[in-house]
Amino acid sequence: MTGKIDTYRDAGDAECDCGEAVSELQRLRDQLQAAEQRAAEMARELDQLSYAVSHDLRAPLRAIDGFSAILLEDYADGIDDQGRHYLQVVRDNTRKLNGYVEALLGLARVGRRDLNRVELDMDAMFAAVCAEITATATDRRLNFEVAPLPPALGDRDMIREAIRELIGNAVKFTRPRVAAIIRITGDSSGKESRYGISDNGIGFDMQYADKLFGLFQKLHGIDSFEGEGAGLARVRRILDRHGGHIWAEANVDAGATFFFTLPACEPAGKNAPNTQGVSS
Amino acid sequence: MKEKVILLVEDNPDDELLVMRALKKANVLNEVVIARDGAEALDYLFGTGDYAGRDTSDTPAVTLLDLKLPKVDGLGVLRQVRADERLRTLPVVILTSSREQEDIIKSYELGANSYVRKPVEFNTFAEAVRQLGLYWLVLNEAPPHQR
Repeated sequence: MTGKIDTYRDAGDAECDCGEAVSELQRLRDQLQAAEQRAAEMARELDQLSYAVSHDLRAPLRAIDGFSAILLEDYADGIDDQGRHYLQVVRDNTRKLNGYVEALLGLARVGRRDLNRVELDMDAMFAAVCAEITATATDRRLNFEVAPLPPALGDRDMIREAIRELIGNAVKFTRPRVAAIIRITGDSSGKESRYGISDNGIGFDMQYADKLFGLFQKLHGIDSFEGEGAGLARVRRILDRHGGHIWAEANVDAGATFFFTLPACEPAGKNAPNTQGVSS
Repeated sequence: MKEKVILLVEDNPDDELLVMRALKKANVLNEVVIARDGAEALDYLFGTGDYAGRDTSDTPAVTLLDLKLPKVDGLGVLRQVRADERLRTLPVVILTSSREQEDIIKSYELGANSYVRKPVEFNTFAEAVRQLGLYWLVLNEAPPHQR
């Protein structure tokens, strides 16, 4: 008898739990939606801010460099070597700051641009970038080994920019080697295409891997390798906007591999790819 | 014959000085008229306001136009200039800090003749101004004047 009553009660509880669970789920879904919206708004605001800051910072920078140069040119007789050196330091730093401003502007531009998703022939994209870089780095021995790569969905200009940055990094950080060996591989899970870029360069300590994609973060000494430390932040932003990911594996002095993913192309005959994104 | 003027529309006095110096160093001897905002530029070109009564058939050889300006911005100036029968052919060079695609596209759409980005680095800046002077005052054939 009691057992029956209990069962009855349990069923009632279950019904009640179920209703609660549904409304809880609804509440969570609303929360998630609101959070997504807020994140998209904040990303947009950040892009606008970076644009305004970078834009307005350029005029005073031009004045600092310009008037330092005029002092050096027109008042050379009144300034001794030490003074000239100090003015040159001012100019060098202006140039550095301008580099940061440009990098910030480049990052903001990634967020502001509209995505034009098309099917990308990644073999051709990588080949073009490798050829381009080989043509400019005439003083280096570069060996590219490119395996057949699956296609992907993405914005042609942005993905080219990301590839250029990643290969450029591989070339940069193999500079101490007699010959750079850069291997490019790819595979596809059907939903996602994954690409890997390995080099035989100086690598890095995995302990600092989380800093790799931060803005203005450099893992190597300030003057040992050129650049502002904004390239990988820009690449990550590009992949974020595509719903892709990027990560790296490395060992000190034993090369690095950067992996990234992009949505794969849907096989013909299936529905159009679901490319919903936060900020597209 | 009197040399045509250059109209420099620039609100930043530091940039103005840098442009003036670069022109001087490039041996450009044309008079430079400076307008500190878009409204002043329009007054000069249309002979209104402070420039009431000016002979507006005497148009600048080239107008160097910044985009970010108080009152009327550069694109606003360009729009009004291109809408006017007499000024439609006025050579206008956008000289700005911006490299935003939309600014470049809008400028050309509104009929800018050229778009030049002001470099931060002084020597590059001076060289850009020198080349602008050489091109627009010497090399380029200005549109024949309809009087």
